[in-house]
Amino acid sequence: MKKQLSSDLISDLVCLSGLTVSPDELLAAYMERRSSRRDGNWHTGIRILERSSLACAALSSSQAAFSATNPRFSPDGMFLYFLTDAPGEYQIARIRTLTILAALHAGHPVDFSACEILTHVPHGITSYDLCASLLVFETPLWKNEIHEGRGLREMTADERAEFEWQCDWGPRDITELDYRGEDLYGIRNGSIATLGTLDPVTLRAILIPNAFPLSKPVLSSDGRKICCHGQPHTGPFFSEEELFVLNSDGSELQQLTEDHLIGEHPALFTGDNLSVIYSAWHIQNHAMALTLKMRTLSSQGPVDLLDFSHPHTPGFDGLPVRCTPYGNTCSRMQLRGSTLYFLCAMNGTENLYRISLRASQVPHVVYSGPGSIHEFVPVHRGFLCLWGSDSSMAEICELSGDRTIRPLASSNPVLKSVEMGEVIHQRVPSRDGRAVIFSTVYRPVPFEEGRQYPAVLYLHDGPQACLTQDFHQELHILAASGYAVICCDPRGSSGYGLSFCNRKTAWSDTPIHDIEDAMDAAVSLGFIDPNRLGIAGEGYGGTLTCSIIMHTNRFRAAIGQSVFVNQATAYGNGDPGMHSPHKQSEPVILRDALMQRSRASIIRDLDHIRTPLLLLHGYSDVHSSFEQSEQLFVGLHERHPEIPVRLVMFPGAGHRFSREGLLPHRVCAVQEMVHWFARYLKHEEATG
Amino acid sequence: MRHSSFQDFMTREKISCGTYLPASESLLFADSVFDPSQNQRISRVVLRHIPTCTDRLILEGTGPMPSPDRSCFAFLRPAPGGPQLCISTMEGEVRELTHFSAPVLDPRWSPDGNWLVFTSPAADDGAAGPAPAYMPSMGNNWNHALDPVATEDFGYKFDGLGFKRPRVMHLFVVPADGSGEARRISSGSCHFLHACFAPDNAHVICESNLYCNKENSIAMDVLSIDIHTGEIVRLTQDLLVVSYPNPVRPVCTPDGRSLIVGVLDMPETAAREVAYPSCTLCRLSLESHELTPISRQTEDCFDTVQLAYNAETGAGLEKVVVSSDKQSVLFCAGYLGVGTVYRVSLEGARNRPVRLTDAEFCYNGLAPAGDGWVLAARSATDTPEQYVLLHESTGEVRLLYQSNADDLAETALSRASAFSTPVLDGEGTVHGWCLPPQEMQQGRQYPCIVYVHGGPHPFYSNSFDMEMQAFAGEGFGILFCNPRGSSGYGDRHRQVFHAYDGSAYTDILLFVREAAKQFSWIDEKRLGLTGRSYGGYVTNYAATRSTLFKAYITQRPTVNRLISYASSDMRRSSRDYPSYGEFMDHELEHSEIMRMEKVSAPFLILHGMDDLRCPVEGARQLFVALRDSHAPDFPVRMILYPHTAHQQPQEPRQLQHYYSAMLEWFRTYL
Repeated sequence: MKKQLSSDLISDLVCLSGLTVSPDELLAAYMERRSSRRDGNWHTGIRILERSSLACAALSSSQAAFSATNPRFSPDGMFLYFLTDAPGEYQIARIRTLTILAALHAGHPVDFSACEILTHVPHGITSYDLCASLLVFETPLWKNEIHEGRGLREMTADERAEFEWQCDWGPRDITELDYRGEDLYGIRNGSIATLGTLDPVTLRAILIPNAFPLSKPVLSSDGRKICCHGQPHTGPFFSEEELFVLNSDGSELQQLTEDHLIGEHPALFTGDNLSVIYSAWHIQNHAMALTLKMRTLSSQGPVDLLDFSHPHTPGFDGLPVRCTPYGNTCSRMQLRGSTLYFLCAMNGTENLYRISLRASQVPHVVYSGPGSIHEFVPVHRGFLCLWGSDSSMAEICELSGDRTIRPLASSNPVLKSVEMGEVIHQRVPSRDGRAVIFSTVYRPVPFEEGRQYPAVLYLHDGPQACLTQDFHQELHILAASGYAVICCDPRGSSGYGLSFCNRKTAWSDTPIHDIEDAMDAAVSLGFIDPNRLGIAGEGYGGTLTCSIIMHTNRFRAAIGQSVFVNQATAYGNGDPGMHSPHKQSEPVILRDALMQRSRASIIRDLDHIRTPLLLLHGYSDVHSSFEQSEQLFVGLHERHPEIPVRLVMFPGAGHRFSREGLLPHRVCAVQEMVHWFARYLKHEEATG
Repeated sequence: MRHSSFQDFMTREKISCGTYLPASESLLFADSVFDPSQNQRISRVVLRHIPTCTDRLILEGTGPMPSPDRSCFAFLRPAPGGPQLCISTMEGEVRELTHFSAPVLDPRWSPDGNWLVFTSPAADDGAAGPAPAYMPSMGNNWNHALDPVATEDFGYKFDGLGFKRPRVMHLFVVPADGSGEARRISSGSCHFLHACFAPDNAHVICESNLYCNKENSIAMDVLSIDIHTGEIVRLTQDLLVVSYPNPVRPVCTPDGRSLIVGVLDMPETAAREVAYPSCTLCRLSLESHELTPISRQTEDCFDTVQLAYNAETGAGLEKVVVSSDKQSVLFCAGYLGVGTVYRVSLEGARNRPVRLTDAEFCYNGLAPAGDGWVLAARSATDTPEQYVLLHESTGEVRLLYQSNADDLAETALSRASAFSTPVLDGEGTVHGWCLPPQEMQQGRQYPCIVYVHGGPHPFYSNSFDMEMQAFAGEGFGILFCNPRGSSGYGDRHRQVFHAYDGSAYTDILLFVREAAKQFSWIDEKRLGLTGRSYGGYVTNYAATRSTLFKAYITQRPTVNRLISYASSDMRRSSRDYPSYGEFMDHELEHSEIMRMEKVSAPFLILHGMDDLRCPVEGARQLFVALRDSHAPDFPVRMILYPHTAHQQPQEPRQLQHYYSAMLEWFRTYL
């Protein structure tokens, strides 16, 4: 008999990312992330797969627990390079491919002690790239470390003690406007992302100090050029990135963009090393999508590779919401000869597309579901990819020319013994006839024909995001707790073409109508009790949840996670508050600015709430500060004490803690949801 | 003579918990001194023979508390989980009474010397309400400070303590002879604080929020708990006994039939306005629970509790003690900016208090000493804390111990001059002091810092203030006064309304103008303004209106009332507003953030990142508003201090950084 899916299983799930292939295409390597019950953190290991025998081996050590990330084979196939925190901080390491093969053939794990540690930077290496003759890396350094020549050696005990004091207790001295970032879970610490190079033969490392941060470096295949992101701006634009290219000896730094619009993905050199391909935001009448651009280094201005005048152009990436954190080293675009392959979420799946390197292309579909491709590497006659679906966590698979997916190994065998509900995909015409809303309904588990079940409507973060066919663990857990789960991508979501993803629409009543239409369509399936509906949302979805319960009493219970409801208090406290009026270069009259924010805040209608409300919020949320949930909690509890309201604070947690945060936080958040709905949709008291 | 500096914060001696033992002519107290060899402070319990000035005993620890027969003393000794309760003979033979994993706090003896009662944080009994839903079982490396916190009611956080964990302050008793283990006598999910034994040795009197509205954080009920059965008797009904921030521990009358408690005169509308009520000493009958005020307000006694803003004296001492003749109680109260000791008869009702001390020193903290004397802590603007014996009838004083005696002899401490000036609306005067720079040169002009106190209900006194002396040592004059809203000058002066309607601000400006008239060394072109909390609010208020000041430092201010409404542990109410939207607009209209584009002089913001009173969210908004609305080269800076609540940083390096930043700012712009 199969098991019920429960929050306990969250700690057993393994998330794959960082797929790479050896030059002879015989070996594939990828990262496996799992949560530790020891400290609640994510721990990452590397697994290597031999494609011919499907033999697998993990890089491991009997001595100590460590993480290994970012695997890359050297172009000559001799080594597997990776980052490891075994020395304390993440350093570049390598291991001979022959050692890996020997372990694979013997059926042993790959012994970590056979690897060489190649760098000794004080605060670890964030990312790296390599070609045959050189490696380039990114490491955070402080100005004094660069000046005192301490950038390439580990800290002494005294230096470490001082560094730790500064991190934990050091006063945060702030003069720049844009001083906080969600990626940092707080205030910028003064470090400068700095590039360095490493000669793989002599193992000599050299730093490339720069006045402003340079990050996400990639190397040309001849090792002569580095393309990277940089933060050249000051004042309110401080954290915004531009694209740069420089010689690998650090000379001739050249800024390639200046419009504040590049995407977060690392760039890619073309095969002739004369051009770079990068992602950038395409904005048109409040609608936005990521596009791909190519810039020839010797010319002025980039070429747009995608043609957005065509309604079916998907854009790049598509910003899918991933309910499990797969890591950040996704290979979402790859060149094979003069063909560019890339991923984009479109119409409910994460698809693979190809274009040639010419301006204004309409991409050709290589794969468009079922399921979603998270990462891919082109190989002879097909692709290796990480592929997941409604019922399967992403696993390493082969995508052949006839568009069939063949799993090669399983990192999540545990899911095979778990009973999961059927997932129904609906396409619902919008009431204004202008759009089709993609909606997904999870049947409750166990499911009995003819019975009616309570249902939960789940709204995703964003608004520029989408829920693709993928393994969404909290939705399965809600289904396993006896609820039908309805989710949809209302207008304002990404992944349905440029005009669908309109910022103005996202904050109008249109998405609420789309959601209602999707819900009605789900109810018409016959197994949902329309009198026992709950609503939950995260980020933008949580905000929408609050807005909806201020205008309808249709729901018996509501859950808002990381909500954003009061713009007047958010000013200066969250990302939306950091979008400075400076950009309009008009004098700022604070009274006008704050009153305008106050009048635009959805919390003004707080008195209309009649629905029991659970608020979940990370205390270190920089996107939407914790005080936002407090505004709702205190206001509602004081003015309407008869309406149950509960607030759960997650210390040290950021905006996306329920996906990327600590294990106990992720488990607790799901359990809080299950218990809250049990209380008000099933009238069960939580039992813990 | 050397000058004071901010380094003196590290090295100066701090004394606490003094008791005079007349039979041995000894003073038992704790002092915290700087140990240069370890580069850190150490806390010691000291038994000092007064006639010979020799230390007869020195032990590592804090909080010494002699037994009723004076044969031994209880104290708290450092341990890994927090200080633990120990007993020492006068010869230094120590016995440990507790082995808790949590800190032991505030021990008190039973009158017969057989028991000690103390508080310690302990797990509540589950009735506390919502625990976070199911957490997975985690390994030893999991940091429980990261456990989620769930709440369904107010009172879920408190400044300095953080978010409410399922732990509350409970009461424990332990036999003093070590014949048994400590055991808990309180239960439930509320706090039990400020305990003492009843004269029958079988009951503990304490303050608790067991029956209180959770929103109320400044006052509690008085309970009696049977130490054998745990039975609780509620002694006060809807009575608010002063508990925060300046708690008055109930005192038993010598006949054992009553308690003396400090009762807040909570007006009907107290919850609507952030006002701190005045306090009356009352006799509470243990039998009938009847309450009788024993003191009354007179022309030279406005209050029966004092909130002296800068009186860093009297740590570990009591606010109210019974006189040795058992006929009266003695208490400290603020009178015209001076901490003053009064005596009032225990018998009858609404007696006239007698003032025992004059304005030369600020008194703060008392301990019974016997034979017609009481031990009192006092200081003056140029004299660090002293312990003195004060005669209960005549007010005669004998010096017992002068802290920081070496510094006093070697440092050119400044003495403040007091003066007053009429307020603009003729409703009284504003009184305050001017502290000149140390070793001022004749004919030279000096920059001056106007320092506004927090509250607004506390008052500046003439007590010793290390921070002000350090600024004086660096060549700055300091002006500090008690504008409208301050206590200690009568009910009219303390009206909180005037603290926020601009009256206090004009009071300060008038005071500064008067100072400039009186003291020719003040350079009117080099005035800076700073203040903490409410003082930070006044700093922000002045910065958008005045051109008098050339630099501002705002320390942990309230910035936006809408932020404070939801994120402060003490908040206003929105209930009077028909809609939430109207409440929002009203709160914003009355917030200083709305005008910050008008600031025209360099502005530094200092705030603790764990401040839950004036939430750090306000500081962040203030900084962004100033940056947003001014040219990029306008000097605005914000320094946030991790792990710091609504107070100065406690970590020594952080504190040094804090004052260095202040000094640098005023030096640069004044």
